[in-house]
Amino acid sequence: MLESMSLPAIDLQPLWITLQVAFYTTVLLIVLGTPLALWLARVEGIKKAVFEAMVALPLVLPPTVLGFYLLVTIGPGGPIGDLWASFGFAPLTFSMTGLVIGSFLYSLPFAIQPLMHGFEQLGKRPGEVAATLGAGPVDRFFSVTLPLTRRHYLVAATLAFAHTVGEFGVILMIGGNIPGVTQVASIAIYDHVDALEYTQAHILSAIMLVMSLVVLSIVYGVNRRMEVRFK
Amino acid sequence: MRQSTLSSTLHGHLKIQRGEFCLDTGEFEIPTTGLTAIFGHSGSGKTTFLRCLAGFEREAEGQVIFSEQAWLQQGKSRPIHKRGLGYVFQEASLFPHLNVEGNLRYGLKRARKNSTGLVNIEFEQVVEWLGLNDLLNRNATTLSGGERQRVAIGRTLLSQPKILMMDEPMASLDLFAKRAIMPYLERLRDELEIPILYISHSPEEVERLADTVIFMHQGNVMSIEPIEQALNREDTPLYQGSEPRSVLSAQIVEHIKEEGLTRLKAGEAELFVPAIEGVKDINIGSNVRVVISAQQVSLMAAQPNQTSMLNHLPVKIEAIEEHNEYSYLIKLRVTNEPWPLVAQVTKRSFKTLNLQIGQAWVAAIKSVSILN
Repeated sequence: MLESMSLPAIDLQPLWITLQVAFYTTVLLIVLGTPLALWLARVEGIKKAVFEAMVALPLVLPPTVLGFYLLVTIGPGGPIGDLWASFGFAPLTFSMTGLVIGSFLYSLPFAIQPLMHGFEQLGKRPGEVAATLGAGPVDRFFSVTLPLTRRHYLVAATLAFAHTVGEFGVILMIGGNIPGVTQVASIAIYDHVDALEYTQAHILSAIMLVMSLVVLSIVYGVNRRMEVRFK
Repeated sequence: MRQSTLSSTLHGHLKIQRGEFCLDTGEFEIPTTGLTAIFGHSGSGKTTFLRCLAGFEREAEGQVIFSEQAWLQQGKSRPIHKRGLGYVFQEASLFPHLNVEGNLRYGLKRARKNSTGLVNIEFEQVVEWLGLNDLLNRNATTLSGGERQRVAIGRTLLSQPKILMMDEPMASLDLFAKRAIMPYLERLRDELEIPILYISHSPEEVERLADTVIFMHQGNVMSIEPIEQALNREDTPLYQGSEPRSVLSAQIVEHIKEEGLTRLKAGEAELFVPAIEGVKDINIGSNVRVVISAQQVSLMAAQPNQTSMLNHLPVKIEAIEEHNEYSYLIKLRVTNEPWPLVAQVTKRSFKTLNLQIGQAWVAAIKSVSILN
């Protein structure tokens, strides 16, 4: 069906922006999510319940709610937005940085939960063993915890990346829809459909579909091979 | 004087509340030589005590000083990786992402890097000691229980610990694996110059391995005493509920091959036991622990001229107590010897012989067994 039509010029820029946002968000989630997940895996009682709930909020809140609160805090006139501006930085809203901050919060549970479960499943023992063998906290993390939870890292990174790629509401609220700056693929597709440009929507959607399928297949394949058990 | 003894001990006091369970050791002072067993029933707090000593339990309060180095004092806890302790867990807890050699070298690498960098225990030595040569390239997850535990012990030794803590390292092993690993433990005890703290609920393990025993009961340290004292104490917790027996130290004098016997000396008294030559590390002059069950000891009026029994010793009755409905326990002292002997006699024989404290008799020993 596609062949019968002459291909219209299609702007692939939104795809590129999507991948960039997803990449930065994932890196940030893994780096900053690790200490948070380590802490959550260790605390008990009411503290754990409250913080777990806070991390899980984006799962239940409509993205527009999260986007709205972000807009009023990091936008011009918001407390963080003003602080940011007082350092002389360009506004966070309608910028790549703003998109990454929004995506970070929106995808937080998808990175934190697999990591936290990984650390809980691993238990205290490997760390205790490593400590008695002379390894300090950082050494213990990189020589024992990380290699033994690498599957959970893979799952966390994949989910965080995939979820960010699929994001729509939050980005629309804080990023607007500036072509070439903050227009991501999901929004571009919506625009194309809105303008009745079905061919462009088809192409972008198909690329997203195939890309997601390939990435997930690779991840699931690798995941199976990485299985390690601690005895 | 007090200070000088304390400088080479592990001492302090510890307290921790765990739900219903409370560990409260009171002041303890553990010698830093030889093997010290921590003995008690399950639930007596052995593992909690050792974990608190090692520093795994953050909520533990009190004080722990090891050879003048403060491990826990005024709420400050020295990080575990800076304590120089080795810990062998009940389950081997090998790192599954490393092979056997990787596991063994994990602690060694870090010991080489630290400030002192002193390595007294070499890789090759440990591999030889624990018979690990054929395992080095194996995946840690494919080993048998006994092999895993040997690797875990080796890994710990190679981290160059100044004290070795072992939490029932044989508890998860079957009898066969236990028997196989016991000689390795004895070798560690004899050849290493570092103190070993060893949790056990098995009297056999304690009497075979320990130099000192810590008795624990319901979260308290009841006593810390030398093994000889613990073994021969009448109310020793080691043998609660088991048959009465005496334990003594003896030296191997001679192996009489053609008769299949080994001659021992306990003080000046001689004992014959079935030949124990050929067993590893049992040489002339070495010390063994001898167990004599009270049921194996009978009393005779005079030194027999003709008897098939090899072991008979002049004794004096020191005490008499009722053992059960049908028998008495007679506490004996071997003439000119420091060691005690206990005999179990029926109430009928007791009456016939008219046994009384202070009388001299000859104790005939039907069988003697050797612990190690």
